[in-house]
Amino acid sequence: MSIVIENCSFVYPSSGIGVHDVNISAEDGELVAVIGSSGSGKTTMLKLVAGFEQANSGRILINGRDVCGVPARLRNVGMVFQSYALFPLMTCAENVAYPLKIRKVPPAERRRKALDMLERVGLAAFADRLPSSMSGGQQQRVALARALGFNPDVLLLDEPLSALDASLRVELRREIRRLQKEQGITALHVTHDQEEALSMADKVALMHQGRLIQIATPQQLYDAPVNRRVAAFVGHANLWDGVVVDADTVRVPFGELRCTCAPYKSGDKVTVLVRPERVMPDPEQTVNVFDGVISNDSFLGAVRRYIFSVGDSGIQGETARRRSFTRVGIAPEAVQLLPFEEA
Amino acid sequence: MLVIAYLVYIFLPIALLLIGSFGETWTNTFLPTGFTLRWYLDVWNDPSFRRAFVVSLEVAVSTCVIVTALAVPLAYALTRSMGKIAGLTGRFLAIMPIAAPPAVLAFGYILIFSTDAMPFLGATWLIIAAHVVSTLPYMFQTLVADIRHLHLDRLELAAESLGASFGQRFFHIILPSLQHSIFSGLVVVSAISIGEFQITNLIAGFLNRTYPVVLLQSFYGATGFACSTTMVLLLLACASAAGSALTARSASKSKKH
Repeated sequence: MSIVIENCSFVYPSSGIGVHDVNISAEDGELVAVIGSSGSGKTTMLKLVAGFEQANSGRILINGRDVCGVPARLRNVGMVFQSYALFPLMTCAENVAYPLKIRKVPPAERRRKALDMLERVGLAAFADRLPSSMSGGQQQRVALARALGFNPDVLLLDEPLSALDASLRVELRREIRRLQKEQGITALHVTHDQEEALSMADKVALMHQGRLIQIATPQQLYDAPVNRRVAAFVGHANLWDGVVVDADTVRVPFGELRCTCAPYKSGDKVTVLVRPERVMPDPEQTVNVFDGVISNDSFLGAVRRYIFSVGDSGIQGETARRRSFTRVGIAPEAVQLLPFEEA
Repeated sequence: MLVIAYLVYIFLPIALLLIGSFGETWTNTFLPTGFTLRWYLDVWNDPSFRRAFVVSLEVAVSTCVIVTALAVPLAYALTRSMGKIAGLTGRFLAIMPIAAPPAVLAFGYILIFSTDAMPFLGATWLIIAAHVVSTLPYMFQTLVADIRHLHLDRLELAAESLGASFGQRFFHIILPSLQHSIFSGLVVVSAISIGEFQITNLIAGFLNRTYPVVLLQSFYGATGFACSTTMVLLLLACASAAGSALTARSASKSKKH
């Protein structure tokens, strides 16, 4: 089973916003997370796959079948909503059995299957309870059981964890991932929480203003962002405007950094990226070393996040070190050059 | 204190009516003298009251059925499509009972339905139609509020993604979810229909006058008779409100399973 979104465009007639020429594919058994700020078109993308909206152009293939024009109810997709969307007058078991009822599965068999699914999300004991008597996390588990219980071709997750507490979110991330892998189902997961996306997904697609900016594995997205926007959205980042001096040097507001500048040529304007954890306090190296003072120090438990002031500029850093320091270093391989973009 | 005064204000007339309906004579005294069931027997034996009782029930039941059948799809359709026309229609329905007082509506009916082309004045269905028009907004508003409050649009999307057709969504999800508002709407609709006097008095024929219209005549007779006929109306209104509510509840339950 796979999901292929090909050159998909859609514009909401009322507002004129939408998605433009998007290409995303999820191979068999993959979980692809779609991230982006609000208004980036990520939810619209999911609606197009679910069939709640029909694309203006392009194709959407679910398991090789072009589903454009196919109504939502015939697409055989399991969907989990941010608001859980459990039917309030049905018990948990009835909720999970509902898609089976629609598919005319006999009552005894659908009850058995529903109980089996509830067992798998650890809620067999709640089968005859109404959703309103359960916590948010439990309700979302039931919703997950309902979305998976009828053997859908693909699983669509629309910000499923946004309404939950932080601790519960982490727990449910694992649960969703476990079930998705167990079932071997291809999934598209829309979220605004990049940590959620990075920790769960096989691939992450980043969208901005209705366009796909980059789709890559979480590591690639973090380590090799294609532009300033991706670098800023995924994780923390130092992003400085710079000018290439020569093949090994780039000038940034607080001095010069040694790094590999290819393919940029001297004189090119670039955006310089250094991840905070690559900034080393009291370094042993002798290149890319800067003296200054810690100006903003937040203790976060495992790490300390600080701003290291060098003249008028600030270098954002992260360290486990508790002692104070007046010098930081940046390894040349930690410096990445991206196409120049205004902040 | 205020609450007690209010309750006395509400219940004293009813209590006096109840006492009066069993009193033998009641002239120039605070309370009636003697005890009798005569007045209730008189009501029972009066063919015009018996007929009016049946007509009132027929009209109320028909009104309830038609109002439900109209208001549920209408409220659903109007909340689904958020267009300008839909919004205007909704507002129009909401203010209609204030903008068009019953007397105005009734005179309109008299003008239109006493013509040679449409000589329907005095027909029972016309009374039902009038009751439907004047009670529809109450049911409609209750439903619209509930559809928004319950986020039925989200539930419907979920049902759609699970494979449910429009009909399945409507009968499995929408209708059961609305049972409480249909229930409370029907209590109001049936109570208004049973008690409606203004329009009905002007457009009913001699043989299909409803109970409140005939009731007016009893006030020209003995006090005990007037009291007992009014008590019957009160019982009729309560019974029909309870009846319509129970029907709505059991109907939505049977649809659910």
